Amino acid sequence: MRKKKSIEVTGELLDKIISAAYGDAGVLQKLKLKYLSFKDENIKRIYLDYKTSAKAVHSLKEKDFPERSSNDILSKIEAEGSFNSLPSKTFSILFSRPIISAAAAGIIIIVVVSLLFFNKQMGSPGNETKYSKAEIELAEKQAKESLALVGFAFNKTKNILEEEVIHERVGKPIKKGFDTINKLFSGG
Amino acid sequence: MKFTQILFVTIISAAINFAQTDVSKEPGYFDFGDLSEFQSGDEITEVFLEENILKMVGKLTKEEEPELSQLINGLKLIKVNIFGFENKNEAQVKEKMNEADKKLISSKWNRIVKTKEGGEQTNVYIKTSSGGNVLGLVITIIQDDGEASFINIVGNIDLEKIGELSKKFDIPEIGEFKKEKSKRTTTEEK
Repeated sequence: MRKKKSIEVTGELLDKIISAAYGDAGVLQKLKLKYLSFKDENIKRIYLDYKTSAKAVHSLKEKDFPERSSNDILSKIEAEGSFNSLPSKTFSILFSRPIISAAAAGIIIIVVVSLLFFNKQMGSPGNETKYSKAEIELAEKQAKESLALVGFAFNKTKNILEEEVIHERVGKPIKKGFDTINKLFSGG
Repeated sequence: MKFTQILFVTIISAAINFAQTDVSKEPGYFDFGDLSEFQSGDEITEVFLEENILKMVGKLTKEEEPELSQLINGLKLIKVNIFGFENKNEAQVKEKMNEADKKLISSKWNRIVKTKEGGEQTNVYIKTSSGGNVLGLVITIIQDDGEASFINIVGNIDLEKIGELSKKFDIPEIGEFKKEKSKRTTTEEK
């Protein structure tokens, strides 16, 4: 009697068996696996084993989930970062999916820009209700006085330059020099 | 996903930055620091006029004084501090003036006037744009009668016009203005 040749169970094949057992595989993959199980007893046995495990897992209810395991997972999550905090939750919701992320970013940008624009408009020079007439008149007086003070400083420095620097320190020595030259010439 | 996050943060930052109109960011702005520590007596004059109210003044004077209106419309800030100081603080006030001088020079302001006459010192600085427009003006004055003036004007400044107009202003003589006592006339609290 001719002995059936055993099919080697590779890692890839094992993954396919597990997927099929847990119901995650596609129809074509399932059919392929059925065919292989029919041809090879070993594959059939592995498939049935995983299928039994999958059945047991799927039949588990929420309350049957071991408390210790859930506590372990929660403590691990907390150790990695406080994912329960509101900012973290908000951040993860906002950026978990590109569409939600883009939409949220768009909405926030529109709101922020609108608010800033609105505030700017409120404080713009055209908003005449902000100042009373008396305030504007006082501001006018102060502006004039300030500019007059600036003008005063300019004029004063100009006077110092013209009268004292040019006349006293430059003009007088030059005049004195010319006088000396004139005396020398007239004397000679 | 990281790209979306970076884009989001960048756009928000840019929007906030765009919307800010802080005059202290203007190239012609200069912060003299705290001057109150030297002030003595009641002879204090403080003027702080920001762009909003200056525009209003510009509108108000448009009909009667169009040149003044034009001049004021270009300004973003008028900040004046005039105060009396005691003799014992004279060295400190002069030090403050020298400190301001160093800061201004290192910040690429041009000192166009520096006069010293007896106990009186006057320095005038301007900040210009690459095109030669005056964007800021700083004047520091210490008088021998124990009075100091620190002035900063920010905006598009026409120096020639200020010189011309200051002679025409229908205001008391400058000496009288400086003698006005106890006038804490800050229009806008910052």
